[in-house]
Amino acid sequence: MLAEELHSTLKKVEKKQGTEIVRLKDKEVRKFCELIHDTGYDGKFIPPGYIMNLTNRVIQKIFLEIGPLFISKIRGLIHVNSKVEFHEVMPLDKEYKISIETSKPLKKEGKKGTYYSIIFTTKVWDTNGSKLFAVDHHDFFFKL
Amino acid sequence: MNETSFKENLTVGQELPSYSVKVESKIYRRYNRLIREINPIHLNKSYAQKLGFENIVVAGNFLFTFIPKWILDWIPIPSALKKATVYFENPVYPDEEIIHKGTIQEIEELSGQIKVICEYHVEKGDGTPTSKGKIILNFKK
Repeated sequence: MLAEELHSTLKKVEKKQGTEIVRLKDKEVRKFCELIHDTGYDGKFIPPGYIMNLTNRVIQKIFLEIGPLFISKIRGLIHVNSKVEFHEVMPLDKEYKISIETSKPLKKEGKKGTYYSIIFTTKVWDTNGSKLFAVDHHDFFFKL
Repeated sequence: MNETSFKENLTVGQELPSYSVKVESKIYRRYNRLIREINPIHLNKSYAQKLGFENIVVAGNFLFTFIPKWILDWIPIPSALKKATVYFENPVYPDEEIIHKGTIQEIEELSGQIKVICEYHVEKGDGTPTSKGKIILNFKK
């Protein structure tokens, strides 16, 4: 019941939120590369390892929207797996459009009890939506 | 070394150079600030402990960043990296060291390209597995 309620709320938020346009600043990527000692970064493209930090902005917005409604109902959530496709190298200092779609919750039983798996598929496009740069199928387990 | 030299030197069964990272607390805190992390499991020790973890759990997003970096340190051709999967098996806590290890499982010759499939796993110093997955690289023929 709660899983269905979460699913329908996610779908509403997803529709309301729509797509998001982002432009990454060189400073932010440079700071990130310093943290992970990525010396291959040359200020021209977004490192592939940064992709989840880019798409996470859109996922976090969804969580901020559903948070007040589910704060007492979601007892925990954790990222359990991801499948990331890299279609094109992403130049820096360019605008990207990020779309998001959430899957229907799938009940799972594990060592730590019952969880619901929801896959957040985020896609990074050029601004007119004709060129796909990357896709992340980001699987979260929700403890309800 | 150019793209041709890299792909000519790859063979099935070949081990990828291993790569160790210590997830230092101060670096992880800076990362959380940079990306404006909001999930309490990655920020709040007591919250994480209530869920059965020993400490705050290092975010999968942060752990994932080391996978493409590891691969591109080995083969510095960003356009060759096509797919990366990651399955998290056990939590990684701040100040733990993790080691990335992998092997080339398959090399497939397709029209106009060569597809290289690698399997990898990541473990802690004591051998506890933390994640595993596959990497797919495509090179132009």
